[in-house]
Amino acid sequence: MINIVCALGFLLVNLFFICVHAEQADLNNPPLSIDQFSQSLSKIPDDHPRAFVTNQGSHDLSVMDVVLGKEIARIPLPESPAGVAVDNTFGMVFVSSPDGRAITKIDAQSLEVLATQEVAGGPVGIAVDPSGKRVYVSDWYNNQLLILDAENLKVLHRIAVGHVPAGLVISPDGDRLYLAERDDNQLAVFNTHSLERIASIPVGLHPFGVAVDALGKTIVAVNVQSNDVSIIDALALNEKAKVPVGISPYCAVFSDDGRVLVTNQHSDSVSVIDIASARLIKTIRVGDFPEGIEIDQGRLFVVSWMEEELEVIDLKTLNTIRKIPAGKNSRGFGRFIWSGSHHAN
Amino acid sequence: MRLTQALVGITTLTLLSFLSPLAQAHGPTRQKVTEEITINASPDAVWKVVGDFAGIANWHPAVEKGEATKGNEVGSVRTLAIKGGGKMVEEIEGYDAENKVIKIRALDGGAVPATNFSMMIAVTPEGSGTKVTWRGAFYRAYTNNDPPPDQNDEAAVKAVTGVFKSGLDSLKAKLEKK
Repeated sequence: MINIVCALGFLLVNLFFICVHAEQADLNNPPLSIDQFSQSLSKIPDDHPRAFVTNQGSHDLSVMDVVLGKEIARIPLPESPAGVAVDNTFGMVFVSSPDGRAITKIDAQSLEVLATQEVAGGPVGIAVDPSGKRVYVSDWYNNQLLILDAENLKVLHRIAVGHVPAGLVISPDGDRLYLAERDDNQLAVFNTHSLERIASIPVGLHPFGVAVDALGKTIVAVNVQSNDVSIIDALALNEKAKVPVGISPYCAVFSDDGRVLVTNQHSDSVSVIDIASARLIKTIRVGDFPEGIEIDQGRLFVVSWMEEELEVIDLKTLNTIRKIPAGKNSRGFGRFIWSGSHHAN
Repeated sequence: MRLTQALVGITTLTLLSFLSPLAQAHGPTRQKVTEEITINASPDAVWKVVGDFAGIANWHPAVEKGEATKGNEVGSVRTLAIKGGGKMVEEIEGYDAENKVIKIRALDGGAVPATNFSMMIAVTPEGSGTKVTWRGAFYRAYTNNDPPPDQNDEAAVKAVTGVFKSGLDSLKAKLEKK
């Protein structure tokens, strides 16, 4: 009997703590005013690339200066942020919060929160088109694709898609959207102008992450449950090959030398695949439960969800340059590197 | 441990009423539990117990008995009978005897209100004794939005924390028994 009472008490205390903590997050980490941000940031060169890592457990965004190798700011976000999309055209960062049911827009240079938009359902996957004018969001619960105005985050369109839409990318020419429909085990292809579905391409089991190469010729879908990636030809719109990788692969990024790199959550590794030969050529050991992955100027960036840090690896030597601590349950699902202010239009 | 039994019993009944073909589905917010304990015993002695995949009934208070298909090999599957009813089925995903790390994926989480459950137990030297770290990654049982309280994130975290804590406490007691 006393055990049940203790259990109930424990549950009540936990619920109380969770409610209080949600409010106290602002008291413990008060957002700096714009003036304070500007003053502290004026000492940090804004032409350094930055990593914007979503921390799903601490409900905030880690801003890391990649050159200095440290976190320079932590921005509170709506609950359980997951997806992130950096727009290098205007220097903006867009974040999805599935439990907070919101999208947040942040200035990559000043770190000012410019807009927050509530969206029903569970926004997860997020991508910005190359023009920087449209933001695309997958709603995990409602099986919808949302199209937002990047300027003010107003929802312009909602279209029905397949089951549990997850990762998504826009082609470099801005004309196509590739969306993983996880529970349908397929990759959907949309015309971004007409919003019509062009194709549904069967891939492996439970695709989550999606990536497209710089020329828009090849798309990769990462199949979490079949432990492989699908290589898809953008012209023929079919799956050319499946390449086995590690266990529970999640996200992918293309390098500029014909390879795609994939994080394997349960293998603590990154698989390197040669696209032309559709072969696994290398495996890189990384921190536990890696998820988000990015490449910038010869460096590989991997977010470790378990270790809660960003690992920076030299792609030539494969040596770890540094590890930068992030917040709780860091994910970085999407494109999380901002190239720096001198790259902006 | 009657607390664990009560929890296990309640969640088993809940889950039996919630049999779903989408066994591998999950929501967008992954949960994490990390529990640690320090044991006054050598790492070898601790690993001998906790690295024995089939022998978890020897140290975890919630497990009645267990058997494994391939011992400690990767791919070995163990079926565990849970005290009070229910079962769990788990597979070895990684086994590093040298570094004393075992990684396990739940195939049928049965008695715990969580899905896509994977975990790792690591044994490391600490001072003159041993630290055991038990980490888990999972999602709540209710795969859609607005979950009922017994299948939400908090319920999943609480249940997993209970499994890890009670296991580590019991492991320590067993290994330190003179």
